[in-house]
Amino acid sequence: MQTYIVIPAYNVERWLDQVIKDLLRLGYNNIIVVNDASTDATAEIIARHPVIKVEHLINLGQGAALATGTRLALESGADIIVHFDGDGQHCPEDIALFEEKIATGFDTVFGSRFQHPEQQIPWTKKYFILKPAIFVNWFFSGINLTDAHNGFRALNRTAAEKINISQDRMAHATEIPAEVVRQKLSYTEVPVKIIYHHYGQNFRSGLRIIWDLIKEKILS
Amino acid sequence: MNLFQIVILLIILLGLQRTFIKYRRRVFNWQWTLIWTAFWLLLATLVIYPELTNIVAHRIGVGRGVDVAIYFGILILFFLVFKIFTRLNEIDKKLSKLVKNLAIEKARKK
Repeated sequence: MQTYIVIPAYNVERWLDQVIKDLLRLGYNNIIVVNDASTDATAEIIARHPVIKVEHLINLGQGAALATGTRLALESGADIIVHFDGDGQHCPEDIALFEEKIATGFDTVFGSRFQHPEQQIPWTKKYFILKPAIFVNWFFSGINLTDAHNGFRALNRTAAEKINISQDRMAHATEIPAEVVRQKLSYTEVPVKIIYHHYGQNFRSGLRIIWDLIKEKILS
Repeated sequence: MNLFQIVILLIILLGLQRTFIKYRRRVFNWQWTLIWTAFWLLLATLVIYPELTNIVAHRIGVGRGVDVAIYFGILILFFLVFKIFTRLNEIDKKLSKLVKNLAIEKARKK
């Protein structure tokens, strides 16, 4: 089975080089990096590596970058598509877990940091952002996941073809589980370790995500 | 006639002139021109005879004509904002589609 790694990249010059190197070292040769109109040296870093480069002329958001990358992966013949962050928060060693689950027949595999025994999460993030996020996710999608907002996921071909990622910014993490439920795809979770170099999404971004989800409900 | 009324009437005159220019330049067809002209004339009438708003107000059970004007104004604003909101959203979606397609086409060529 051909595994394609899709990395949405926006101003990740600090970490992208190492991320790509680690992936290549582990033998993942099908890497698609979507440069979402970064303003730093991200483009230069991408150019240095044997990866498939895609560029958004205007910054659209992580969801849009994933959508573009996923579509290209499908066109390239991918059987497994892994969404992997470009900021070093995800461990490439965990990818094998995802591949394993897809091979046993699951359509979608979601990473969960809460399932990981060693996971250290900043206290404020855990209780004020992540736990409410799990509720928001359930409210908008009807799905019960232990980790609401994990960008680490894998889709098989069927899932990638059926799931429509229309949320351009960060609400994809709620939209994709919602699509999984809507399209009646099979899913499971695997434990992953998230490395916090930086805080990531804060409360305000959380509010923005809720707003994006509500807007979509009203206007569609 | 107080100063306020005169200023508003001058603005309405400007509006009428703009409308006429748009008609001449074929930006507005005759239907739109008629609608806008009627709108400006109605506004002018209400400015010259503000008591008219009071008649409307009493009919619909609101205290003052001014209040009716304000309520209507707010309703129209809500409606317009909603339209702008929807349009913006549509433009966002179209832009997104364009950028994504461009990106994929460029990547395919490599």
